[in-house]
Amino acid sequence: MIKINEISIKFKEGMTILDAIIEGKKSINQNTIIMVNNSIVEKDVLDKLQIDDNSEIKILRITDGG
Amino acid sequence: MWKKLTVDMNNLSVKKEDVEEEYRDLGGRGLIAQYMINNVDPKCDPLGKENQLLICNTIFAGTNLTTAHRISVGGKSPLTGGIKESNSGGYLGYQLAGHGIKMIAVKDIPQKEGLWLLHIDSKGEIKLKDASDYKGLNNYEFVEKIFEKYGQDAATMSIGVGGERNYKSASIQLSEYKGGHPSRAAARGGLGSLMGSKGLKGIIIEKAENRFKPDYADEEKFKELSIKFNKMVASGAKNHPFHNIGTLSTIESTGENGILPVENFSGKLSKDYKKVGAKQFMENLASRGGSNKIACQPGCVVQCSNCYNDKDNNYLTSGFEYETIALFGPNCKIYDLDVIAQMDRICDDIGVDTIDIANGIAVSMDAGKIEWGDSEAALGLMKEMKDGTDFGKILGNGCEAVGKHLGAKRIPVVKHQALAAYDPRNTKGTGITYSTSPMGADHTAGLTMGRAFDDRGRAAQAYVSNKLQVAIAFYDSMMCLFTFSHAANNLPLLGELWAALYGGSSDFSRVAQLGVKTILTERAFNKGAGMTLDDDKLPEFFCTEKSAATGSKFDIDDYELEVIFDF
Repeated sequence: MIKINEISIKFKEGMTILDAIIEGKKSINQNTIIMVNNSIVEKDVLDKLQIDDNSEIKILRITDGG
Repeated sequence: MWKKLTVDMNNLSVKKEDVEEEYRDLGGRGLIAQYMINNVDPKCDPLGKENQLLICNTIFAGTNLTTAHRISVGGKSPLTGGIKESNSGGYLGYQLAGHGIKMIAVKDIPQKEGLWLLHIDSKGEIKLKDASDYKGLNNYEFVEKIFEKYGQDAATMSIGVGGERNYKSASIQLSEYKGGHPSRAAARGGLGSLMGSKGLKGIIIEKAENRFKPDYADEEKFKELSIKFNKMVASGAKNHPFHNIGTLSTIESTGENGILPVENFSGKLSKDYKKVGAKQFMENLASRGGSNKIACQPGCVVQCSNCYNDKDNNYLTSGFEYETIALFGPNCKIYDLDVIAQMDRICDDIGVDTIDIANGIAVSMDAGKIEWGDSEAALGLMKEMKDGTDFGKILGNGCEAVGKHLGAKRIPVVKHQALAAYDPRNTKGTGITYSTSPMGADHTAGLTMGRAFDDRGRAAQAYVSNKLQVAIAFYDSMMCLFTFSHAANNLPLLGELWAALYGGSSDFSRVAQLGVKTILTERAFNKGAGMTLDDDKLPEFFCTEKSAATGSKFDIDDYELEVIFDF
């Protein structure tokens, strides 16, 4: 299983991070930051990096300034 | 019954009495506005005997509501010349509430030169003590000596040489919960200078042996509502970048859309901002034993703070925030997080506002005093500020003082206070807030980024700025602003909480009225201090120079600025 924010999806062999995000019906844009297992992943490699089973993806939306 | 401490620095006395009925159910920014209009002549000299330094707990202090122990510091600002409320996290609000103290008013000035400490011991005994041994100490060394004497569980609030020398950008530094580092700041508006003018080096509060409990109007109801509120905020924070990374995460958005200031608000896009971005920050934390998800006060579920170590894994700074990184970073063409962390540490130590000082450095670069991106030269100027050289004192007086001294044409200030790290051409509502907030150019007063229809368009920008400024005015009276986005869909809960604690109406209109009244009171104070509509303006270059990143100018009509608070 892969956890995306508050939901879980089924892991499939060879799936990329982007595949998992699409499977989880989550959207991303300029104001989102993607973390996989507590590390930030740049958006331009989401479709290139495969994800491991039991990973946790966090899609973080920037809504405030610092 | 909540108490008020009046500290008279002229006769070195402290009086403890019940809080007046008028202020009983107020706190934070709203309390400061009301107290100032009633008790301080707006025309007074900010560093003279008539001004007062106010330290106030929030409306919800003493309860278990998350972030209720934010502390508000106020007075007439030595920097803006108007009213100032600057709030901070840290441990002091919690400890102050533990002794049942809602506010401290520090009046008058000492008859002779000297420094004093206000000390509240664990039994609640209050003394004003000679602090001449601490003269000239900066905040980190001061706190170390205080912990040696009073124990690690004391909470501190102090000034470094910035405040002692009355630098107009001087901050007041507060120790953080658990870590104890003096890295939380009531930074804006030079309130450290006001504290220095009173001869007050620090306030030390020991943990109360018998913790004060507020007189709830309906304790069970409050408990039920506060559990609901805390869960709502914790749930929102869990998937929010401030909790998972820190406020620096904001740069991942502003760096892309032209809102991030680059080379003294030139309007360019930075190609290199990721060198000081969230990924680099997280990698440095992980590889050096640093940490994030830290609460700066007890009971905070947002936990946006951090501890940043140097390359040798030794503590360098904490509370390392977006504003500091953006303004010392891309805005000075410096792309090294370790150097910027050193700058943050120096500012916290001396006790000066990172926003005003970083802007002062950028203006120094723009005016040709030092080269763009020359971090060694920038650190050299900051050393001058620490040592108190002629230029160091000018830098300590903030961005505008530097710009005027160097004859700079592009000085990014409103009401003499430097802009935070959002280019107002590309977030126009924030530009309206910078222009019209009684606080001067203050992003926390109403940051509209991402909340208007189009950040670069003109439609509804004044509307959004107005609504946010009102909301933030009541929020700054109640808790930390960083719970706002998690609570925004359920703000009426605040009215219910207020009523359960103090009684009275639970209708949300009571909360909204607090926001409106606070802003109008602050505006009235500023008018009395001599401010006019001409003070509600951005520097002209934002209206005449296009942002190179987007082609946008700040093109909001003056009329929209003039009527923004015609409720």
